[in-house]
Amino acid sequence: MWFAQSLTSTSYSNNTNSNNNNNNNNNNNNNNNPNNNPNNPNNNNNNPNNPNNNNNMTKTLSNDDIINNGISSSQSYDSLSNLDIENSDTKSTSSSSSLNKQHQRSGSTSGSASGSVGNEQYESIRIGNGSVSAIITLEESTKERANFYTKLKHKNAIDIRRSLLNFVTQFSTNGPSLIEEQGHTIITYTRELEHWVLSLPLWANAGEAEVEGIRDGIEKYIMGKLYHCTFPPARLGGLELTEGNIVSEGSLIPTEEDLKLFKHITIHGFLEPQHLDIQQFINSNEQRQNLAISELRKINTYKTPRDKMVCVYNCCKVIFKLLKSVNPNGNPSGADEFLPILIYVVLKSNPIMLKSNITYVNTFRDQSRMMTEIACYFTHLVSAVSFIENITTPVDLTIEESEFYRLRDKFELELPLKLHPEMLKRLNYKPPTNLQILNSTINNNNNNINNNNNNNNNNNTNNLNVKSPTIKPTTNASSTLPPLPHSRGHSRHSSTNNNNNSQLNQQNFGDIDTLINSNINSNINSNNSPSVVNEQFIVYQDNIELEKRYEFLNYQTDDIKIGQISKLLEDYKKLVIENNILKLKLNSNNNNLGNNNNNIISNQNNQNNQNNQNNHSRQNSGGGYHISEPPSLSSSPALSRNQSWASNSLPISPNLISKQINQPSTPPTSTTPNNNNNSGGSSAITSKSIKEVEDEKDEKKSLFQKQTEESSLTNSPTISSSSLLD
Amino acid sequence: MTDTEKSFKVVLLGEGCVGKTSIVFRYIDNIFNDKHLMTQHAGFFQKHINIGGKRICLTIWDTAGQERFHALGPIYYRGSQGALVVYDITDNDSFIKAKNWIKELKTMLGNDISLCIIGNKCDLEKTRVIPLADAEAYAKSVGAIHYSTSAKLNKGIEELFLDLTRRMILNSSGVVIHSNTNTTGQTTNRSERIPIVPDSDSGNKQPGCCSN
Repeated sequence: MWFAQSLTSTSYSNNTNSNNNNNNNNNNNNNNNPNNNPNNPNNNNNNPNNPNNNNNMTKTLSNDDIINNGISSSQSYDSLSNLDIENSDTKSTSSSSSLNKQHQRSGSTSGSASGSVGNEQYESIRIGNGSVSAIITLEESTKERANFYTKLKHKNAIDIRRSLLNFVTQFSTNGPSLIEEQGHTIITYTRELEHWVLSLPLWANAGEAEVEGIRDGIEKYIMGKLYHCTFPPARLGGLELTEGNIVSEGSLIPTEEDLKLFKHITIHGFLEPQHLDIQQFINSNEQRQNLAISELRKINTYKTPRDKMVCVYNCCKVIFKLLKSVNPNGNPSGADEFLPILIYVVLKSNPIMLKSNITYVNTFRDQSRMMTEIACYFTHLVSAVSFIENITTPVDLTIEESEFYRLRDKFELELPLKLHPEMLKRLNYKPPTNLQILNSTINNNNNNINNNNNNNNNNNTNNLNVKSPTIKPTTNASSTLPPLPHSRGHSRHSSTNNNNNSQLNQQNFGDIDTLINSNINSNINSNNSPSVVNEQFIVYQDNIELEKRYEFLNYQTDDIKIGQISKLLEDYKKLVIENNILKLKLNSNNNNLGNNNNNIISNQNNQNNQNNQNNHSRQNSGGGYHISEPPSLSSSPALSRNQSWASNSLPISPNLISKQINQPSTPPTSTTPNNNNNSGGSSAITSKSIKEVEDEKDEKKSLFQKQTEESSLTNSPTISSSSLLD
Repeated sequence: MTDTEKSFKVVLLGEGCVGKTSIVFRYIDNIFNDKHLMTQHAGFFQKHINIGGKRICLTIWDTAGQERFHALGPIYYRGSQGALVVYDITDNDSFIKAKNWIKELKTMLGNDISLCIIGNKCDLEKTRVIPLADAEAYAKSVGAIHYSTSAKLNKGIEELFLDLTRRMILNSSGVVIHSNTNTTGQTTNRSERIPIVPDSDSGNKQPGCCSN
């Protein structure tokens, strides 16, 4: 076989060949480095509070930490690929500096820096001191991996380097295309190379840890270089060879299998801890739970099987800690408690491309090496996924049968809200047909009222609304949603204000930052923002089953689930909008109360500008209380809040969003309108609207009070739902 | 190069609350319940031992015992050299469940795996519902070995793992089939030597092995 040749080729000299490869490599290196670098400052900017101090990592791990580690690991990577460049006398400064670093091997700094994924982070959530002796820890193996690279630079190891390079080059050009064959080829080669390496005097007397490091080192080299042609979503996404161990999730395209699983998990998103009998662990530990969720989502970010497994391991670590915190001195926690929690975390995390990741690790990780601890936890993940995939009936869950089917049907209907249209298309999703009639009626109404829609705005709010249900606001929201094929090469934070809107409309699905940015753009660029309200109305026609508009009508406080909050909010907004329209249509005498009421809504919703329609409505509307208006409509803190972060879009973190969603639960007499103005009025709000809002504040307050007394239908679920969010 | 270490994967099966996890905790750390520090992580245990000059690394994989997770078994026991199927001597259901596991393991892995049937909580002899003779007869009939253990009193656990390791070494070293039957006879004796006498403080109600 050809790869066997690459093993032996070194002995009968492929020198010219490998020199060519070196040059190619060099080019790649230079070309790709600039691509990596721009991400770095952006990511850092995103979290300016986080210093680049690796030792300082606590359990509030941020992307920064990972990125930093990742980047440093990519440096070591570069240095490896530059091993060959060294031979061909083309040293780049950066590579030599990182080489020096490695040569120093001055213990902690360079060692741990080059040591891959969240090494420190792993440490920070490590429990106990792993008392069992002689077990190779993750840190050790990481250190050994770096050690391997150092030794690899030795001149006696030149044959190994050539062999590696040869293999990688040949694989990427003539390698098999079937993933099974790929796995077989790579693992066979890795084993042979490992034997060869161990037979060299340079690695004589290698201990277990070092052998492990050699294996990891070989794997990292090969899989890092061949990731783009072995990881199925990367192949689908047409990824090019990049240096480093970090991948932008946006450049990957999920496979059919991934989408199926993603959809399946989304549909079963209603499952709660009590359905798996783990409420005693989850309910008191939201923070850890969210941490575990975000750890798991990092799985798509890394290239090598080992690093992906480490992501899973880190996620599991958090779960141990959670178990420990619930049961500090009690009985030992075994898999009986651990597995259901992991299942729950997978359900809530729902990382796209999970299936591909599992296949990838199982294929390209030598099965004989699947006996280690990280492998064990990966196996736990596999079994958790298997369990989830097999949820088709409530048999295995602690849930009423009718409840299970009711919720599942509901979540299935809501799929269009949660999945990207592209995904729906690939899944052959067909929306229920009877929605069309309702759509058209509302469409008419809408057209009568507002003709100057801004499409950009429309799309942005659309995406925002579509997106919101899947976000757990307190977690790392940006990785919740699938990357878009169109956004290839788009790194999450690199798109800034100067992107044009149309581009953003395609991208912002997977990216709340971009989304916010794009909203800034549209607000600055177009002064039509008041139309947001009505545009949303249009949006709903496409996305929401209007027949279910009053779904929450009969709900009690306890009935509402976390996953339903956003739906509830949207329902509520729709009600407000419809109410507005109806009042406009009534077009009757001014009623002071009604008038003000109407203005509050428009001010809160529109924030930035007054448009004709609002003035119009203020002058003409009134008597709105003759129609059966839900009394709470005008006390729409939730609505206005939502609107304000959608349209005013100051840099808002997901946490902030959740806070804002929560706030409506405070009594309506609070200073909601004020806050609203403060947050929203920063740039675009006109003095006129501020003034008007100020004028009406007092009346609003009384109105709010009045409405709480009436204890409306729509208010109570909002409150209860926000308390659930906590 | 140092002599290579052999590692064995042992999977831990059995109904919830029979004390699977406690057995391993006892073995790994000699900790049972009191001052338990959770130095190990849920679900995975590793122990290095020396047997006859051979360095062995035991990796023990815990599984969730709830019935709803039964179907996930194959994911865990695939590629394992040994299986500990645990039941509670005071709980008939758990014994039935253990029998199911054994049956499944026999079908899926045949003779490649060394099977142990473990009657745990033997400190609760008074409330025993599974007669020892029955359990041992069953074990013999399926080529497994029966052990009686008490995680609470640390009875029979060390022996259990040593025995299992020896069997796995033999099983993996070529003479598979014969050594299997051979060890069976050998070790049955051994297991019979383990005192199963109810201990002095067996009157104490054992605290549940699973956290509840």
